[in-house]
Amino acid sequence: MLKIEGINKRFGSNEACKGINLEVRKGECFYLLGPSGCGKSTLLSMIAGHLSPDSGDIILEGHSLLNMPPNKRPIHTIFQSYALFPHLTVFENVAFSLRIKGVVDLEERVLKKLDLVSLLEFKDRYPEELSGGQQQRVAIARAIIDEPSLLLLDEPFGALDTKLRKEMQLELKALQRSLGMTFICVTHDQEEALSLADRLAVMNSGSIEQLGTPENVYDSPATRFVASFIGESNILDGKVEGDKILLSNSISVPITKKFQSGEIRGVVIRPEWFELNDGVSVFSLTGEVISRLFQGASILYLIKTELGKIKVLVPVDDDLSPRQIGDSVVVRCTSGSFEVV
Amino acid sequence: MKKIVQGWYILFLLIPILLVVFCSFLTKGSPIDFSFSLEGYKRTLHYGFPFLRSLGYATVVSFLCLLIGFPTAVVIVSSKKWRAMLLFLVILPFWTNFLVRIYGWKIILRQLDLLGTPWAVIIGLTYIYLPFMILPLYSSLERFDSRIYFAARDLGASGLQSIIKVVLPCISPGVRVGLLFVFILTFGDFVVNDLLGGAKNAMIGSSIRDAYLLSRNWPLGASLTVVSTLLLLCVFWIGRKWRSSGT
Ligand SMILES: Nc1ncnc2c1ncn2[C@@H]1O[C@H](COP(=O)(O)OP(=O)(O)O)[C@@H](O)[C@H]1O
Ligand SMILES: [Mg+2]
Repeated sequence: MLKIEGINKRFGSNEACKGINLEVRKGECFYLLGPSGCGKSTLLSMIAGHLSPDSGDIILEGHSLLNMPPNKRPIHTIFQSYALFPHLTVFENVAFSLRIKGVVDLEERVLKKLDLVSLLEFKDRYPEELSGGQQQRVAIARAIIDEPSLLLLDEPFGALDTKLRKEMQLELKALQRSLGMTFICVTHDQEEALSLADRLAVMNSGSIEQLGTPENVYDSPATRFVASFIGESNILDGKVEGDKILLSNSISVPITKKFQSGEIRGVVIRPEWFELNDGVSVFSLTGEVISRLFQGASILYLIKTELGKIKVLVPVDDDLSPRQIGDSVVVRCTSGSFEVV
Repeated sequence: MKKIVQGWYILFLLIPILLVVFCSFLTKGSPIDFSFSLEGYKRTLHYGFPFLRSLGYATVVSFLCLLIGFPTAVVIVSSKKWRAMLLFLVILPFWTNFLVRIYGWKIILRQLDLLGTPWAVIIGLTYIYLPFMILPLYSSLERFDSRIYFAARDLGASGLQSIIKVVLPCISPGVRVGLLFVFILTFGDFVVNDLLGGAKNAMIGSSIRDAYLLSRNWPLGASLTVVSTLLLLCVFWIGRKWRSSGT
């Protein structure tokens, strides 16, 4: 439904977007994920029409948006920190776009949307009199009031505390499903993107590094950046030799992708693919525990080995005798297929 | 601290005002006789045109300054690199004597064949008092989150609609201070009009000056001053009413 073709945008010498191509499907929740400053907000602003790209095209349902001012695009945005109108009540904030259009059944429609986000009783308050979560609901109601075909959300949960964030994420996702709207969300929080996205694009310094489903991106990262940005991972460098990579003189792992022999490549191994006990393995190492983090259901160990420091995640109930700092351990890699970046 | 502020108000505001009010009820002498008289106020009735002219010019010039000052302040706020430089340029004219600048305009306006017309006065006043609009607008805009403007655009408002419905109300403290400054200063101005508009069509400021300095009629000057102040208070009262009914 939305197609972005070869978008470039620079600010002076700073290239905020470099040749971005992507296609967003109708009714999906699409995520742009990347570290702060990588150009996500810039891309969103170009879709909304507040910035125009230096080159490239943005096509919504077959029509280019480029010559259309933002107020004519059938797209609404939920801005980072919401940008509510401070001088208007909740009701008037939500009613804003209907007042501009001059619709007749304004009150009824506004009240219906306020009810949907459970804000009816707050309709006469001003934004500054609301909590962060309530402000976000106002922003949502305001943006979906005339049911735009596409909703853009810039760091929608960034201003909320952890518990509220989870709640609002579930709520917003349910809303998206029930309204059948297309969402494009922006975040630097990989956990949020992985849990809410139908598909996502991982961005880094102005380019898209990988585009796919969350499972796809998590399990087979296409680049070193994606591997290190999404989830925890160990990237072990080694030299390619035929269909193997030599991590050290005695350790090698099989690879499926084709690389030039002699190239130095990184093997991506997630911390949960290691275990700290004896048994069959692809390879195993000895090392010393140098740090450990208790994470509720599991423990993350940092272990110094001949291949450098390795992160190992062990579920608490598997770990009958938690290792102490300074203990010598055997690290066993249990996964048989590796991504190489 | 509170005492100091109160003392300050009494010394520099209340006492001078009371002196002027007191003087307005006295009899003209050389310069005054201390006997009660309403002669000063009776004569203010002949000054309808200067009052109207001042009110008219002040109104037109305030809105012109807002019209020119707003985009200027927006440009200054949005240019990160040049901000300090542009602000400096706004206050740079204050470093040159006021009269020199007005004489400069006299030459330009003569070339344009506007000298002696109300247009010349409006141009001159707008030029002189524009910085008093730009600076308060700038300080309000600096704190304004530009995403609020984009949100209005996003929700279907045109650029102008967004400015009128959202930006101006959000920066209304700056707008009010700017309008207040320009209105008061323009209302009382007695130089620009004399030099660019010709002394025949006096504004109230010139009339007051003449009463004090030329005809040495202090009670008249004081009466005109008191009426001016009351008029200004009236205008602000109306302004407040209008604003609170607007929102
Ligand atoms: N209006 C602007 N002028 C100059 N540089 C900008 C502007 N907006 C963004 N940038 C720069 O472009 C890059 C991308 O910014 P942005 O899209 O806001 O990143 P993100 O939202 O991913 O954190 C940053 O380096 C930022 O400094
Ligand atoms: Mg951003």
